[in-house]
Amino acid sequence: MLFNSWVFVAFFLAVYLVYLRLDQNKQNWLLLVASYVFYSFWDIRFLLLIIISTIVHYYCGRGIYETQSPKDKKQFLHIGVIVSLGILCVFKYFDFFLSNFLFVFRQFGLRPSISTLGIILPIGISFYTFQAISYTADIYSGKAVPCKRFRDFALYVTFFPQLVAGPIERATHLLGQIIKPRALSWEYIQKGAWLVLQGYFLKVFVADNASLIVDQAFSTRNLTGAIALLGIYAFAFQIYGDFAGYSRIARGICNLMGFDLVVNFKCPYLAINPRDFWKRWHISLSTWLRDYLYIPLGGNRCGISRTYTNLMITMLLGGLWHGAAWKFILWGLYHGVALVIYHLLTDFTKTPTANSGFLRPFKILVFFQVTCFGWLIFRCHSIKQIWTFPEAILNGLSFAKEDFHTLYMLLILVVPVVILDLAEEYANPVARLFDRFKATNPNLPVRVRVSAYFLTGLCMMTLIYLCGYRGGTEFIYFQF
Amino acid sequence: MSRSNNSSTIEQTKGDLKLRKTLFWYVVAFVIGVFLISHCSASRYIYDLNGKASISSKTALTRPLRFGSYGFYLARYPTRQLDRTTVILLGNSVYQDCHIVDRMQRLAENEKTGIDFLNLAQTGSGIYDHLIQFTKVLGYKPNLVVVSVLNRAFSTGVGNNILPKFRTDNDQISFEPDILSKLPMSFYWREFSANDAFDSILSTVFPAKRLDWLIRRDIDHFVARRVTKFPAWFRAKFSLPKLNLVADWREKSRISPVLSDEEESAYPETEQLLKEMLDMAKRHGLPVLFIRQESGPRFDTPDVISLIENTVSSYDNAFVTDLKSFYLAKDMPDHVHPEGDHARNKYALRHYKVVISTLKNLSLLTLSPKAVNPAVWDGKPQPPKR
Repeated sequence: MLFNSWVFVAFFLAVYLVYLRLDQNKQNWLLLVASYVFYSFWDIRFLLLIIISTIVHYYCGRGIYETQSPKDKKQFLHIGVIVSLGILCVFKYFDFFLSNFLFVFRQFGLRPSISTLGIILPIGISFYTFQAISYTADIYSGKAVPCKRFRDFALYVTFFPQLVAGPIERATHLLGQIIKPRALSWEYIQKGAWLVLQGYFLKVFVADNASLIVDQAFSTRNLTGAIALLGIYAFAFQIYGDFAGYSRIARGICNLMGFDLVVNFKCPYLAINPRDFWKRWHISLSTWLRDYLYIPLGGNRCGISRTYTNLMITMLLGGLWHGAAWKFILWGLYHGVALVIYHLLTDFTKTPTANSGFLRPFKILVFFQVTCFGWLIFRCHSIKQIWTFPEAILNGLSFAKEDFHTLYMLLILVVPVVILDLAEEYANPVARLFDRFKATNPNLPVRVRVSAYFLTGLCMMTLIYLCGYRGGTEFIYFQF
Repeated sequence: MSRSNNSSTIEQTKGDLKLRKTLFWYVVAFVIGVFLISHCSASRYIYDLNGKASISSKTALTRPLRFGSYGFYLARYPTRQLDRTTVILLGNSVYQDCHIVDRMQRLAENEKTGIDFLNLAQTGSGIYDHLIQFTKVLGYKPNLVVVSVLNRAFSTGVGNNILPKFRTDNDQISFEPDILSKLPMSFYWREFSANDAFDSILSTVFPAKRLDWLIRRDIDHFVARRVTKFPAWFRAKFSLPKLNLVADWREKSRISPVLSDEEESAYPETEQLLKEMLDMAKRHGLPVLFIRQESGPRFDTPDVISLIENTVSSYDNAFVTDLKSFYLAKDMPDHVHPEGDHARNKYALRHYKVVISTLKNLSLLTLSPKAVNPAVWDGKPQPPKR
C-alpha cells in the first residue's frame, strides 16, 4: 500500500475517522491493528518477522532492566541484536554474500553445489530492525526504561506511517508519545496538512516526473554528455523528492493524529561539506549510525587514525544498509572518503568551514556536484556503468533540441524544490522580518500569511493534479 | 501547582475532544463531497452502454477517447435494436482505429442482412481485458460476440513494452456489481491481491478515480484554449510537463526491456480465462466467435490457437477461425494494422465473411446475403470450427 496510491488515501481516511472517535487506549489498539493490516498488504508472511522482532526486543528490554548483573544485561542486549541482525542478514544479505563467495570459488576453479535462495526482501526490514535495536540499546545504556505494555511496544515497532521507510525513531521519542496522553491541536493539524501536501508534491510531481528523465538516461544505449548530465541531476532531485516526500507525508500523517516524528531532512542540497550533508540528509539514519555504531567503536576518542577508521567503517556499513549490492558499498566508501578528506583538511588548517558568508553559494554548488557523483554510483545498474557517465560528459556537452526540452522540464521540477528548501533554510530570518512587519501593521500579516499559504497550497495541488505522475511508482527507499 | 496542572490537562482534554469531534465531521463532509463530485463527473462523462444518451460529445476532446476502462463507455455506441441481428466486436486497435467495423457495417447494409455491428474494441486490449469486456456486454444480449485477438493478447508483451495483465485498465471496472455477479469468484481470488482489489473497489465507489486522466486532459484543453496570449511556438515549447498522461504511455521513448520472440510465453492462466469466458457464454446462451487476426512474424508468439480450439470444442456455440495466414507484408507494414483503403477493404471483407458464415451456422441469419464482389476477395478463409 503505497502512500501515493488511492488505496492508502482511503485506508488512512477510514482509520482516521475511527481514530478521532476513540479514547487513547482504543486509539493505540486501532493503530496497532491498522499497522498490521497496512504491512499485510505487501506480504502477510513477513508480518511474522516483525512479530518475532517485537517479542524478542520486548523481553530483552525487560530482561536488561530487571537483571542486576552487568553480564546478564549484556547477554540480553546481544540476544536482541543478534536475532534482529540475523533476520536482516538472512533476508537481505544472504544471497548477496553467497553469490560473491561462489564467484570467488569459481575464480579458483571450484564449483560448490550450492546456489542462492532467491529470498524476497521484506519491505522496510532495515528500518524496523534499527528501530527495535535502538530500543534495547537505549535501555542497556540507561537512556530509556522498558515499555510496560506489549501492545504499546508492538505499536512502536510497527507504527504504520513510518514502518516501511522511516524516519527511524527512538524509544525516547516515539514510545513516550504512544504511552503518555496526547492531545490534538489546530497547530498540529495545520502543520500536518502542510507537510502531507508538501510530501505528495515532492513525490508525485517532482520525484515521479524526474524518474522519467532518469530512467531514460540510465537505460539508453546512446548516452550523450547532455543526457548523462541531466540524468544525474534529475536523479539527485528524484531521490530527494522521493525520500523527503515520504518522510514529510509520514510526519504530516502523524501530526494529524497528534504524534510528532523526528525531522529526517533539512535542505540537504544546501550543504557545503560532507559533514554538513550528513546533518541534513536522512538524519534519523546518520544519527543512529553515530550513536549505535560510530561512538561504540570509539568515535573520535582514540586518536586520529582510529577516528578515520571508525568513520570509514560507519559509512561503509551505512552504504551496505541501503542494499545488498557492491554499488551501495562503493557509495558508502565514497562518502566515507569524502568525510575523511574533509576532516583531514579541517584538522590540518584548524579552521572549520564557515556556514555563512558570500562564498556559501559557491560552496553549495561545488558540494552539490560531489553529492551528485555519489548519486551516480547509487543509481547505476553496475559498477561498469558508472564510468560511462563521466566519459560521456567529458566527450562533450552539446545540447540537442530535445535536450533543451528535457532541461526545461527538469527546471520546472527543480525550481519549486529550491524555493521550498530556501524558505525552510531561511525560515528564521523571514520570521524576524515578518515580526518587524507585524509590529507596524498588526492586521495585515495574518492576511498575508494566510494568503501566501493558500496560494502556495493551491499551486501545489494544481500541479499535483494536472502534472503529477499517476503510475503509482514505488518509493525508492522501500527496497532498503 | 499540581492542581493547576491537572485543571489544564482537563481543559486540554476537553479541547482535544471538541477538536476531534469537529475534525471527524470535517472528514465525513470531505468524503461525502468527494463521493458526490465523483459521481457527478462520472455522469457527465460516461455513456451508458445501450443507453439513450445524446450523441453530442461530453468531453472537450475532438473525438471520443477509447482508451482505459472508461474508454469502454466514452464512445457512444449504437443502441441495441431488438429486431436486428446484433454482433458485438471485441478487439484491439485494428477494429478500433482502422475503420474495419465501419466497412463491415457497410457490407451488411449493402447486402441488407439486417446485422448491426457494435464496435466495442479498445486499443491494446489483451485477453484479461476481453474477459471483463465480455462480461460487461452480456447485458446487451447480443446474437454473437466476436473476440478478435493477436497472439500477443495472451502475454504481457506488446510493441516492445511490458504491460500489465489488464492493459486497458479493465481491472478498474471488475468490481462493478454486474461484472461481480457474473464472473466466478475463483477469478477474483486468482487475479487480485488485496491491494488491487481495494484499488478496483475504490474505482467503483469513486468513479472519478478512473476518469482522472480524462478530466485532467479536458482541463488541459480548456486551459490551452484560453491561454492564447502567448504565441503558439512559445506555448508548444514551454508547456507544463505532460509526462503523466495516458497518451504518453504509447508515445514516450521506449524504456522497458526489449522483448525477443523467445521470451514470449502465454499466461499460465490462459486456459482458465478462456473457460471462464465460455462458461459465462454457456450460461447466457451466447454464441462466441474467436478470430485470430492477420499478423506478421513479429506477432508469431505465443501461439495459443490450438489451446483456443481445444477449449472452444467444449461448447457447441463457440467457434474459432484462424486468419493469421492472410497477413500480407505490403498491406500491413507494422505486421498488424492494414494500411490504405484497399488493404482495409480486404481485411474487413474477410472478417465479415467469417461472421456471416458463423451466423449461418447458428441459423441466425434470417435474410440471405447477396454475393460479395469477388474482385475484392483475396482468398477463402477456413470456415469457423466448432
